Amino acid sequence: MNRYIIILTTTEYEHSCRTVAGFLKASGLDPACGRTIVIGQNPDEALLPTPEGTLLQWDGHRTEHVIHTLIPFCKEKLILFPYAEVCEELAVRLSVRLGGCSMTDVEFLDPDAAVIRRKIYGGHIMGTFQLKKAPFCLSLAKGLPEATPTGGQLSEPHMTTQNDPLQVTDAVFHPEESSSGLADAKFVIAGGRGLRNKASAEELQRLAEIMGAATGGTRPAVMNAWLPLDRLIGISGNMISPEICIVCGASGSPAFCAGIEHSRTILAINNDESAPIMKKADAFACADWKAVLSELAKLYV
Amino acid sequence: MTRILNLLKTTPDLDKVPEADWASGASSGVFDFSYIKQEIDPLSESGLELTLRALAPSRESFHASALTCGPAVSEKALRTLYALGYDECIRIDCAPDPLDPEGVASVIADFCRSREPYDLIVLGAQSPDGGTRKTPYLLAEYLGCPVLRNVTGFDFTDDGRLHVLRKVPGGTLEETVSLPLVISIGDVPGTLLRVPTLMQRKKSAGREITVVDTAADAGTADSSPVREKTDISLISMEIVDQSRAGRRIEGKTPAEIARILYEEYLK
Repeated sequence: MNRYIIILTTTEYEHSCRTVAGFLKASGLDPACGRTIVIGQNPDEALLPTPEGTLLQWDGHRTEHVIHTLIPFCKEKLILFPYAEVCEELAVRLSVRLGGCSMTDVEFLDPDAAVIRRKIYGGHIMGTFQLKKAPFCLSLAKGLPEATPTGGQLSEPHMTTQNDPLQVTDAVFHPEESSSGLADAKFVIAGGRGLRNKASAEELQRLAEIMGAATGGTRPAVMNAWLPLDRLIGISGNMISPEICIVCGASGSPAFCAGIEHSRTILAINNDESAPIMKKADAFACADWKAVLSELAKLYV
Repeated sequence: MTRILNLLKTTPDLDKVPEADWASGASSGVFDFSYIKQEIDPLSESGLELTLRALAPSRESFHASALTCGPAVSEKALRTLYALGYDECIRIDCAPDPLDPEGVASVIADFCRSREPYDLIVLGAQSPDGGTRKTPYLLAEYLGCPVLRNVTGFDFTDDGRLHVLRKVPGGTLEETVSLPLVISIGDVPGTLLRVPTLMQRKKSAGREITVVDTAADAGTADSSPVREKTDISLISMEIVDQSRAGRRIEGKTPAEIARILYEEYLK
C-alpha cells in the first residue's frame, strides 16, 4: 500500500490534522504519497497532513450531500479518517459503496501487511485483524499521539452536490451552554456507580469544588443522570490528562480507564477490594469514598 | 399506518467477566460468556423507551415491531416488549458474531426486504461487546436508506414526518425529516426502559414470538446464517493491560487515609 487518501472535515480540524500526522508517522506512511480531502469551509493549509489536498465545500451536517461526491476521489487502496462521528459514518458507508471494507477505532496499521489493531470486547482485548478487501476505509481511534503536520496546498474547491433525500426542514442549532473544562483540568475527581444517587453526586461535586478539582463521572453515573452528560469520562466522552485523578466508587471498566490513562497519578477509593480499578491506580484505599473525601476536603480549607 | 422497527441486542455485562477468563479466551481465541446474565444493551434500551414515548400520543397510527438476532434466551426481552405494547416481536434465529457487523446487518437487511417496508428503523449506536458502531451505517447502505446518527430524541409530526433531536459537535441539531429513515440512538440519560405492570404482563402472556430461520425464511436467495468473512478477519488477541503500581493505602480511619493521600500525593 504505497499511496493513500485522507478524508477529514473542518470540525475539530487542527486536532484531526495533528492526529492523522501522528498516525502517518507511527505507520511509516510517507506524507508525500498521500492526498488529503478536506470537507468543510476555510481550512488552514498549513495544517494539512499531506503536501497535496482537495477542498470539498460542505454545509456541515448532512452526509448525504457529500458521500457520492467523494467516490470519484477514492481511487487508492487505503483511505484514512480521523476520529470523529461524521468521519466514522463516511468510512463505513463509503466502504460499502466502493466494495471494500471498513474498521473503526484503529490504533495501529502495518500498511505492508495490511494488518490493523483495535480494542474489542468493551476494551478488555486488543484484536489484530487482517484486511482483505480493498479499499480499506479506516477510521482512527480517539486519543492517538499527535505530530506536526507537513502543511500543503489545496486545489480549487469543489462544491458538493445538493442531494437531500431527507428533505430537511425547520433546522435549528442549539449550541451547548458551556464546556465541562475536563479536558484541561489539572485535578479531577470522578465518581462511578458507587455514588448511588444524585444527592451523593452533588456532594461529590461540592467536595471537589472545595479541593479545587473538576468533577467527572463514569457511564453509569452519567446515564442515571446523577451527573451531566458532558461530564462523562472515557472512550465515548472526555479523554483527560490531569496531574491527579481521584476515582471514587467506580469499578474501573476499560472504557473509563482509557479516558484517564494519561493522568500522571490515579488514586482510587472503593469499598470493593476486588474492583479492577485497584490494580489500575497508583494507590488505592479500600474505604467509603464519601468519608475519605470529606476528610480530604477539610485539609484544603 | 407508520411502520416502525426497533432493533435490540441482548449482551452480557463484560465487566463481570473474571480476569482469568479474559486471559484464557485471548489465548485460545474463544470466549464463552454464556454464564453471564444477558441484558438489553443500554443504547437499544434508550431506543425502545424513546420509541414508546414517541408512539404514545397516537398509538393507533403506528405498527411497532421489535427484532433481535440471537438464540432463544434473547426471547425474554421480547416478552417484555409484548407486555409494553409492541405489535410484533421477532427473533432471527442465528448466532451473531459481535465482531461481524456486516453479517448482522446483512441478516437484518434480508429480513426487512422480505417484509412490507418499514418507515423508521431505530437501533442503538453501538453495543458493549462489538462496539464498532458500524451496524446502523451498514444497514442503511444495504437498504438504500438515509441514516441519522446520535439521535437523542424524536417524535412524529401530523404530516407523517419525523421531528428529530441529535447531538452534533458543539450542541444539538433540531430538524424535521422525511421517512423512510434509519436512526441510531446516542447517549440519552434518563431513558431506562419502563417496567411493564403485572397486568400488562398477564395480558400479553402467550403471545407468540415470530422466529425467523435465516436459512429458510428471511428472504433473498443469497441470505445465509453464517457469512463467509472475506473482508476482515481476526488473527490474534491479547489482554489490554492498564495496570499501575496499585499501592494499598493502609489507614484505620477515613481521616488517617485522607492524611496519607494528602501528604504523599496531593500536597
